[in-house]
Amino acid sequence: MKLRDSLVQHNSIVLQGHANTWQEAVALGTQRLETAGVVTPAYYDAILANVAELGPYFLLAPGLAMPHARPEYGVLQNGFALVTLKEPVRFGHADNDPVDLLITLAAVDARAHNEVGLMQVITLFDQADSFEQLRACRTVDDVLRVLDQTH
Amino acid sequence: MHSETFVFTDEAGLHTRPAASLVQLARTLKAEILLQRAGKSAPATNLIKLMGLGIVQGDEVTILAEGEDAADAVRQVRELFGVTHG
Repeated sequence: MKLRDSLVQHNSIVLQGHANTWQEAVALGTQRLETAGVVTPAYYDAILANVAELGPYFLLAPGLAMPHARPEYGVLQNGFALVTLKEPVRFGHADNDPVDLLITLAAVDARAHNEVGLMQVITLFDQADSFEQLRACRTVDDVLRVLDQTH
Repeated sequence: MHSETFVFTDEAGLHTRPAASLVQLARTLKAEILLQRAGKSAPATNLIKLMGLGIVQGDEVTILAEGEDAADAVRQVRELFGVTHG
């Protein structure tokens, strides 16, 4: 599934969201995915359990998190959520805090995760401009314009 | 310059967690480390570039290290990926 198509179909873009903690920031994305039938509530719990066990390893770059967990923890279909925060949150990462961009990734199997999901996220953020462009977005159309430029 | 090529065996490919572990390791080492696959290379300190290599099971991957303790750096990266022989 394409990142752009999922964000539209699953209504899973949250812009300038408010979160007091990193857990609340993660929930902004997973709640949209739950509403859209992409994941069950177990997915959010699994992401938190991952961080508790392994640390915030999914902070990919300064300011950017890619919350995800394994397919068997409540993934019903492939999908993404994109969250930007008005005020950043801290995950407790040595290099990449504070975070104000989150792309939640849900994939039904490892292959979808790597080949479909992950590579789209990586391609987007391999372009340094994407960070500031997404932070500046105020409407869904703004986001889609950024995504349409970068693939 | 020290280098070593190995076959990537993890069936999940170079996914987020092992790539993040490599970044953590590379930040503690003095040598400059690159990972190379199919003619494309990425600094071991850059998670997004590393994952952009698209390394999957069965790929030939080369570790390149230059600078202080480069040979030791190659060994440590190799061990991180569970490669026990050179």
